Amino acid sequence: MTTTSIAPRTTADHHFETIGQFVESRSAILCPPDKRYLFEARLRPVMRDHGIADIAELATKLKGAGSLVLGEAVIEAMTTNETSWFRDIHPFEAMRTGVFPDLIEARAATRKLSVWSAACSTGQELYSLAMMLDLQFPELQRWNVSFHGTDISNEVLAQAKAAKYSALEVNRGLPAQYLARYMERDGSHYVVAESLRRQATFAKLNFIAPWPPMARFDVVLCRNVLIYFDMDVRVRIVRKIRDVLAPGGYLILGSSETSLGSVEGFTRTVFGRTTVYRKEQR
Amino acid sequence: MLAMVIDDSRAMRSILRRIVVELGFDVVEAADGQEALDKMSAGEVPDLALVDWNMPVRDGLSFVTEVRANKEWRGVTLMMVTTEGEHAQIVRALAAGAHEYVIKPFTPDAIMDKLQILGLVGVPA
Amino acid sequence: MMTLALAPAELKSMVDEIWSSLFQPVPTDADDADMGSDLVVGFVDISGGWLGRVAVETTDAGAVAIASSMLAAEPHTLGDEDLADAIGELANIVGGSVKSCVEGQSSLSLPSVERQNVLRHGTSELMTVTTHWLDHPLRVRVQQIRVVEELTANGAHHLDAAS
Repeated sequence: MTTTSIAPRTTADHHFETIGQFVESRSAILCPPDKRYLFEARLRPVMRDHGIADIAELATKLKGAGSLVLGEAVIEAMTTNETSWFRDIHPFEAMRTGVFPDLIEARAATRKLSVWSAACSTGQELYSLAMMLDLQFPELQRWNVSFHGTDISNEVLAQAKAAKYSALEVNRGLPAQYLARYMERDGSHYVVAESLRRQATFAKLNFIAPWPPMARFDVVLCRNVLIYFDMDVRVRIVRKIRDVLAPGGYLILGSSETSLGSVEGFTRTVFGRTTVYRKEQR
Repeated sequence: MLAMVIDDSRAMRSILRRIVVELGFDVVEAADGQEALDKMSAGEVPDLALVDWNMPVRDGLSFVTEVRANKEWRGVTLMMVTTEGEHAQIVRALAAGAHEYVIKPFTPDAIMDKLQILGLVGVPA
Repeated sequence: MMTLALAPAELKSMVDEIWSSLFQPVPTDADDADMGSDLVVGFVDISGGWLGRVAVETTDAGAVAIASSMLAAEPHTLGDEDLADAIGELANIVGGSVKSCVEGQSSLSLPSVERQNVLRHGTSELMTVTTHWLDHPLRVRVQQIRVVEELTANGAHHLDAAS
């Protein structure tokens, strides 16, 4: 029997409450009962991936000694916008109103900009930025703008390179005007326009393994991934990022990541609701 | 805020209703574009309309066109929710004045995302 | 005639995606999904550059489970009209995705629902995804139709309020 009932408090409500408590105790995500339909939909892919039949079974597994992997997957699924276009919106606003106007002025002589999306996943972050820059800063069409995405997973990199997304994926946060302007239909899927794809490269990179040589970047996006590392590892990674940033270049972390730890060489700046870190000029 | 869910399928209206209620809207339903216009003319003017394309009597594109032609209804946000996913159709709908476009199949979060883009629900800090 | 650029594996993942956007759990692969005479079929027709029919087939109990979920209503409150509406919308969504793989201009009919088979037997131009959903047999089938006349169902037992 399916569980989307509008009947008053049922055993399904009870299981959902158990899952909600699990999520709330381990993350900043709130799970109020009046958002149950929204949250249940987020849990479906996790249940599917772990062969879990329903909410009751999921609640039981989470209460038990259970799997760390399952717990993490649930938290990630509830965060929901992992593979959204224009994820969280505010950093993109900050890039549009603060970061890029500044960089365009600073790089007027070379007319060259380079962006790195570290932990790029299936590419939405990088392509979102490419679309936004193309639309909002048409002068950049005469510049040399390059986008580089790295991730530890070959699977996500393959999709990022192909730039091909299902209707379900394309629905997640991509404004219709961008959909119309920058996506082309490919059967039941959508592909990013070639003019943007050709500016993007993707490669495998593991933060905690030796990094390949990289040219300097003007912007590094490293959002919501450093939180998975211990503080001392995080600090080391951020130092390495600092070293591949051009002077005056920007590091942008996730919205809830408000501290760099003890890393020198950065100035903290706030654009709207987003904190960005600018590498000192020297 | 009021949402109007316009789709000839009661099942789809039921699904969309659940989503927008959880996002904080009151809901009124219509089974086609004409019924939707009639309700609006009678005073039920929504802040947000979720509009299917293919419906009998009056389709979604025609509904969008009529709404955008009426000065009094300028505040209505129009979001297509449809199986029509061809590039040309998306362009047509936006040209007719639709503000957003959701392709079926969709998840509840897709609707939430679009409403955040439109500024109709807040983005969590 | 134009082609349908759709592989069976792709149809299967379309069904999985559509299902997971609406229901829990996703259908599981099955070797057979025999419904005998206990058949409820929602279908749409694609016309234009390519002619064909997309059908979502299940049992009466399967249709009740689907409608119960989509309408957020207890099974005992559902009538034939509700089953037809839910299965019809499902066929509409599946059909819409299949139509996107038709090369060239095409259009999708409004859905219909019947309690009998709506596809031709013994033809090779038939793609089938056979699954179980919860305990219900579920089949999604795509069939190319050569001749326009074949699209008309004669003596159909319609599953809607008009009958």
